[in-house]
Amino acid sequence: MITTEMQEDAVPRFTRYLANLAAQLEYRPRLFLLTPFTVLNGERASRRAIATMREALSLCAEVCEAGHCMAAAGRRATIIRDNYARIVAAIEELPVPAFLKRRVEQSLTEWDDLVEDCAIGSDPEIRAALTDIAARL
Amino acid sequence: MPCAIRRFASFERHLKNTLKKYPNSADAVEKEIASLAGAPERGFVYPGFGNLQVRKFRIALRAYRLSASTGLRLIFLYLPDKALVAPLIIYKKGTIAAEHQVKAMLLNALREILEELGD
Repeated sequence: MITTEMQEDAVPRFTRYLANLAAQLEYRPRLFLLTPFTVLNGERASRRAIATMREALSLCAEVCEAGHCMAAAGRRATIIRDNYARIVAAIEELPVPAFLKRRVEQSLTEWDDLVEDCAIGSDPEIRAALTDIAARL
Repeated sequence: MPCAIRRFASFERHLKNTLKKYPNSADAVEKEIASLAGAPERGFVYPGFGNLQVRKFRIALRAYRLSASTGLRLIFLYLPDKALVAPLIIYKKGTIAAEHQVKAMLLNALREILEELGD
């Protein structure tokens, strides 16, 4: 089972960085915050954080039967996804080049996918129905 | 040895509805589904199902210039012991923060499949 501590180790800096960026953009929107360097660096950190979380989830692929890990990961991913959504909303108003906006939106989609996967994987009704279907096939 | 693909009526309905908006990609999507027979271990695997594998696979709609991340999502069952793949649901990646709708849609589809399978 993936412990909360393991997940905290996996993505803490990225979570804090993104929350700070989202807050700054919302209350003091400044163009310099979204230089290509900021966006590309953030994108790389985002990819790393997602890969770490998915890898952590795959470690418990055969032992965690109740979906607790998915629920815990889902809560963390939701915080990051929501901060990305705030950033996307904030930069819509800013004169940020379209290719940079697309990159931020792409990261938002990736996090949203992870939230969706965690929501599906941790739902007891869905898990029961899937097991039931597999047994009848 | 390639796996058998079991396609449920519920899945066919979802596929038809999804492809209504993207008719030019129908053949490409069918090819992707058929390709699961030879390569079922694709996409994200949901943890905690033991031997049974529940996977999500992303499909790009190139005819509409939609990448895999904004394209379709296919959730399927893979039973390695029985060499069987069963597509469960296919849908277009929609708005952000719609996980509750996706969950409800999947649960409905699973109930329909269970009805179809009977006791």
